[in-house]
Amino acid sequence: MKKPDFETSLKELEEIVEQLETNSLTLDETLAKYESGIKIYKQCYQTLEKAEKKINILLKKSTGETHTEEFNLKKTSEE
Amino acid sequence: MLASFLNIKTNQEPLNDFSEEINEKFVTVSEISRGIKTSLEHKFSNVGVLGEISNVRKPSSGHVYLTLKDKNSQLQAVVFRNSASRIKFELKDGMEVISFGSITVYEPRGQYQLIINKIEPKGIGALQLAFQQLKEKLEKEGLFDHAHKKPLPFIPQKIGIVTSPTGAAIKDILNIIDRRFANVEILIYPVKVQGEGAAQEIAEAITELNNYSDIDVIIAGRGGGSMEDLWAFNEEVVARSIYNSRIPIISAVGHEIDITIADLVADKRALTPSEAGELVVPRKDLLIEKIEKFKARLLQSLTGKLRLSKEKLVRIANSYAMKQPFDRLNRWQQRLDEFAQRLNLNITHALNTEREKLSGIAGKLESLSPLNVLKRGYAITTRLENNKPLRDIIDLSKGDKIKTNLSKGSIISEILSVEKG
Repeated sequence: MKKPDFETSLKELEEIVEQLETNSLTLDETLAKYESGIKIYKQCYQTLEKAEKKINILLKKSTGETHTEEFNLKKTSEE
Repeated sequence: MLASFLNIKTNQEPLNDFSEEINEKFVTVSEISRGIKTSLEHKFSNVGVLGEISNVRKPSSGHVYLTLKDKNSQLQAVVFRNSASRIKFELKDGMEVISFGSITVYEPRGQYQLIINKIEPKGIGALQLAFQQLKEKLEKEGLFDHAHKKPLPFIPQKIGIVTSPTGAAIKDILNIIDRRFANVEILIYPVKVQGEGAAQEIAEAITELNNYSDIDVIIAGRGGGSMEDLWAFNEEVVARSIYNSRIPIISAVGHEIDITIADLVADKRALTPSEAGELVVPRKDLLIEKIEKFKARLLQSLTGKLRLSKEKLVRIANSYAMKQPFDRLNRWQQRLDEFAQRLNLNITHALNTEREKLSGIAGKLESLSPLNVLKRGYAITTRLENNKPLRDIIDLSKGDKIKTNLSKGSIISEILSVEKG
């Protein structure tokens, strides 16, 4: 995968928060940590919101070619 | 039981005389064989035979040859390819089975055998046995090994779902996903989930979804049903496709009590299709809450740090070390003031002294002044033009004007004559 995944970022964010809360950093370090924390927060937020809802169904033509169509649950779910 | 058939005793005896005498009563081998065949096949059509399997052979033709036996007897049997493919469990030597079929006579060799259409294990369901056998086999091969199981993505990029598009499972899965993490991409690969060819379709779907680079988790499953209904998920071909999948797979077959081979091979087993929806995506609202909390804590830490730093700064500013320079300055200033004051005093003193000295000198000067001499009756004569005192007559001549200074006033006169003294 490309970017660090959400779980890793979340862990990183938590670590930064905990480091900040120990209060053992200098003001400069605190500012730097805060900035990287906010950056990760934004990344996480983006990860959660970036994807769009999209439900497709794969259909096969008799030729063997496949294409996708939007899937509508109500239309098809008659048993 | 063959007695009724063998009413041709006379033909049995004179075998040695075969060449001597051709009796009209003899029948040909083919004739007798055909007679046996008709009689046997009529008598033993659609029978169920209880016996133990031995000497199973499975040539590449797909037919299965075996011997059924009990304590005293043996019976040759064959399961032709079509029937064999419908047997879910594996035929093994020593297995007690009930074989359903008919006796046939194979005339070219004069042999009879049981043609088996259907075979069931004794005392246990065929499916049950098949399940046990496959489970044992795959377990031995390591298909259920935990080490092979892949972790599910925390937030999937795209979910592949292998199931019937019209079943109960897809509805449940989509509902749950929508409730937990609606904005996610899903690709449904529709398959038959029961009946002939279902297992093949499921296996193919799983294999094909592995060609999609953006899919990072697959759910394969169906809603509840009988063991027969769920059977496709107990087929080896499905198990192998799951095992070979690069993409992690969540199995979601039937209800909690239905454990299938697919469940055992899958990277994660969902007890129901609904649970698959829960396993495949996290609750977005909780994640948002979590990161917002982290953000708040970040901010809190920062403002806390800033406040502390400010307080510290104030404290330092008020500390002795920081105040010292000002103190020193003040002290210097004070000293400077003192000096200035002292300097001031000295100057005044000096001035006064000088002034006193000066007036002393002035007194002396006064006592020496020629003016006092004049007071005593003496006079000073000066040349009028330059007021210089005259001490000699050398420079004087008749007609010069002179000034005679007395104590009070002076006389200006013209020289009448100069007389040497």
